[in-house]
Amino acid sequence: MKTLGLVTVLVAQVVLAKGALDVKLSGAELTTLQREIAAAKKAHPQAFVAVAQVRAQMASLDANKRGRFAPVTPRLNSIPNATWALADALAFDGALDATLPPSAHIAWQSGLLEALGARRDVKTEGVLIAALAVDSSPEVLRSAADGLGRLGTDGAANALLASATARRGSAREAVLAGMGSCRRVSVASYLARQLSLSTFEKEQLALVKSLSVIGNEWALETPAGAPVKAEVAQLRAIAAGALVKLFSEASGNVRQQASDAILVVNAPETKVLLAQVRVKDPAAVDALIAKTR
Amino acid sequence: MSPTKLMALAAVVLACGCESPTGRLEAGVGTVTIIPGTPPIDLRADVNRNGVIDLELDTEDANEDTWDETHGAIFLANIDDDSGRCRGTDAAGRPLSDLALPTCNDATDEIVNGDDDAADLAPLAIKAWPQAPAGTVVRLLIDQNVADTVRLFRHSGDAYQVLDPALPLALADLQAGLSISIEAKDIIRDSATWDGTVDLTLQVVVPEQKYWKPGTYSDTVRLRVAPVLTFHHLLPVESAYASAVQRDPDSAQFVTDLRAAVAAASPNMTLVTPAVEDQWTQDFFETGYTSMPGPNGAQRVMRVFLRSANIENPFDRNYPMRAAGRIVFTRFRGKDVAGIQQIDLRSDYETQSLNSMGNFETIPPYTQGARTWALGRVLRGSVRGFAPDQSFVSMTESQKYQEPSVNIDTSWLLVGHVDETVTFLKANTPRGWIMLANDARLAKQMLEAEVMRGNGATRMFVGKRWIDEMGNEPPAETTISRLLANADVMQASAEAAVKVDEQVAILKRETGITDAEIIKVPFLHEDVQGTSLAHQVGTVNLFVIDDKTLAVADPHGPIIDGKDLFKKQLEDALAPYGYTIRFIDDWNLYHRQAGEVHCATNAMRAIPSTKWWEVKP
Repeated sequence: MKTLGLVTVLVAQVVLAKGALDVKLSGAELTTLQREIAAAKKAHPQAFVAVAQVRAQMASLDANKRGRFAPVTPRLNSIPNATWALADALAFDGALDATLPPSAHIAWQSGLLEALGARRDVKTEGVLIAALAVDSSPEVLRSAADGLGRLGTDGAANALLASATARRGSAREAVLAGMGSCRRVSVASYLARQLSLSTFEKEQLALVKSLSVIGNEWALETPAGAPVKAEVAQLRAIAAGALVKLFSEASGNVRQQASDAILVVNAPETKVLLAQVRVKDPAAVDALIAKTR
Repeated sequence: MSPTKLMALAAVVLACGCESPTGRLEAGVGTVTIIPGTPPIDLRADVNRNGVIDLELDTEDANEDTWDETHGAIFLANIDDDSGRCRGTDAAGRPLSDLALPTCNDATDEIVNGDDDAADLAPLAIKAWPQAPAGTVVRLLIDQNVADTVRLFRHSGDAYQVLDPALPLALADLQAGLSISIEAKDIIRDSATWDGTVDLTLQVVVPEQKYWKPGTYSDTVRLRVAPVLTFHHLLPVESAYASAVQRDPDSAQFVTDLRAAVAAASPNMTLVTPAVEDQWTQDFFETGYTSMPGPNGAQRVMRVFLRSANIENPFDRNYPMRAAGRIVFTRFRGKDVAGIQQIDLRSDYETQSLNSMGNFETIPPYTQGARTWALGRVLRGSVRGFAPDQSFVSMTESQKYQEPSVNIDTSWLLVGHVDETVTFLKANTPRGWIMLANDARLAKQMLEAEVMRGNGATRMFVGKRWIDEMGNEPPAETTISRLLANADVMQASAEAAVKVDEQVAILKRETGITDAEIIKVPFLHEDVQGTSLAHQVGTVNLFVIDDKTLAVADPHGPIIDGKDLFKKQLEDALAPYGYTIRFIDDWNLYHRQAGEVHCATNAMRAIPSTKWWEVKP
């Protein structure tokens, strides 16, 4: 009965906010978020105007898109002091006209999530974790994982691991594909372990993509590339180990993607790792070693 | 033998070719025995490819039932609209549906619509056999499997009449000879169904009589329909295209700038600016041609516009396709110009971007190993699980002369087009062309070098904005150091460097091109929805105005020693090949929306002097 009472209390506290996503926030999180947004509206009103402007352009941007989706993220990324304007649009005041095509909604929702994550403001952890919990399309779910992962906090990492473990099918693949932005050893280890267990090509490709991001050499050289600098070498080593193992065992497209990812990570131990698996396919391994720098 | 009979026999001998009936005087008897001749059955086509039917030349007759790069008759798919009868609207003025729009052309009626239409027909002839005896039955036979793909006309002077192969010809047609014309009703859509060849047989059944050997005789000619071919960048531009998006000042400015660049380089070049609400002029159509031998060694050419197989509104029964592509039929189709559409409306909506023609380029001619691609080779972004409309691919692959296509992986790109990362330019080199390929690694090195020189604070993208100039939204300006510190840009750029390497490796393998023939074009990428997009201006996505001038997007790079670092790099790299670059600002309308100058333009080019039929596919 005690447990039931706690659940009742929690349910009562959950408030359904209306924004670009149906993000569910607890009362405390809601209060905190509303307070931050209110303060930001006073401090940086132009950021809210700019975000609203992008939202207003979504019909046009979608109609004129060249590829799969309109590139919204760069526009939102460019708006200074827009952390809470983005969060506001995501959680409260950013729903698009429902009659717009699905591609417009996906581009907008993904853009908000990626741009918010790119701010790397740990105070947005709550709203990004809530966004990850929404049953959205795989594209948006991938962006939610990506955006949350960029915070690099323990909370973000734990939420991503929980989500990846709980979800199934294309939703799980989406989370796996996006969570590589969380450059933490716990996440890298999870991805490596999952890759060693996975037998489904789509899932393998999602894991390869994520490992190439988590161990990305160039990104890790930047100040914001890794939230915990002490973990950088370990991240690259874990990613390289998992990718080399896959490279030695896989074939076809999976192997090609693993090969590319190995080069993107470009870990110091790559040549040694490759030499250890050289006996299986010397020519292919030698070709890959030749490409490593 | 009576004098009359002897004269008749002599006339037969004179009129006929070999094995004509002959008379032999039987010794001591005073009678003539007639030895029957072999009927001179002769169906002729333009086997020697000189554009006309030569009734007496052996080269028109030899090996006429085979077809290769040395001989064999050719005909066109007569799918232009020479008389301009085709409309884009129905009787009530409503736009025709997407599927109805292509169903009108010169081959969809049984009328020869004037001299221009007649010129699109290939000639055939039944050689006259004046002595064909009464009772002779004459037929033109065609394989029933391909009979519906072609139409035959009998003609005399300017009069054309459909010739139904199911019905026998009149004896008089054989006796007097008959001029015939042939058209294909369509191009090759799928070589598994029809490979483009047609065997046409003249069959003559000669009855019992005394001058000609009775029996069934036949003469077969093989014809091949002309393939649809696309243009490569070595061919001179005749007409350039750029959309004029209405009420859009950025579009107006871009067109003005492009017009100035074109006029400065090639004053005679036409710039066509269709008023469509689709700025991606490269994407909604592709230009090409189809041709057959004409008189005096010329090519009889029909230009072709291929509508992109983009599904834009999957739930709209009437207009599911990309709207701007309708222009192929509503504006371009006409005299000696055909429109082609091929689409599978059930194709994957997620991969629609691959059907844009920015993902359909033609590598210039080359030889690799035993094969020469004398007319170039199609290049597409396509991998298993992420591929363009397969019915369109089947159509282009069925043409055979620029195929099989080279396929590279573009699935990692947000847009997914081959023109985002590579292009080809004419060059005075043994190969005759060079390749330009994006290199994010070089961009990083160049920027890092400037940081080392103390220029890290130098601004880039000065005065540019990521969102429209309404209100007080921020500029896109950054600095070299800030850009290099952007983890998300660096992440995407590292991946892009490896992915482009992989593309280049495939192109090296398929074409034999070497590193010395590849110009690196530096720009960094960014990550959008797990895919890659040019963060800096994608200058490889350029428009070839002529073999000396390129229109390239202004990179808005850092100004170092008074010169844009990235402009200078490209100019220096291409100067040895004699190129001048006209930089055009495409930031607002194109770069911000995931495209550059090549995406914004299109071209109809000169017909290559190489005749496809002299090439071994």
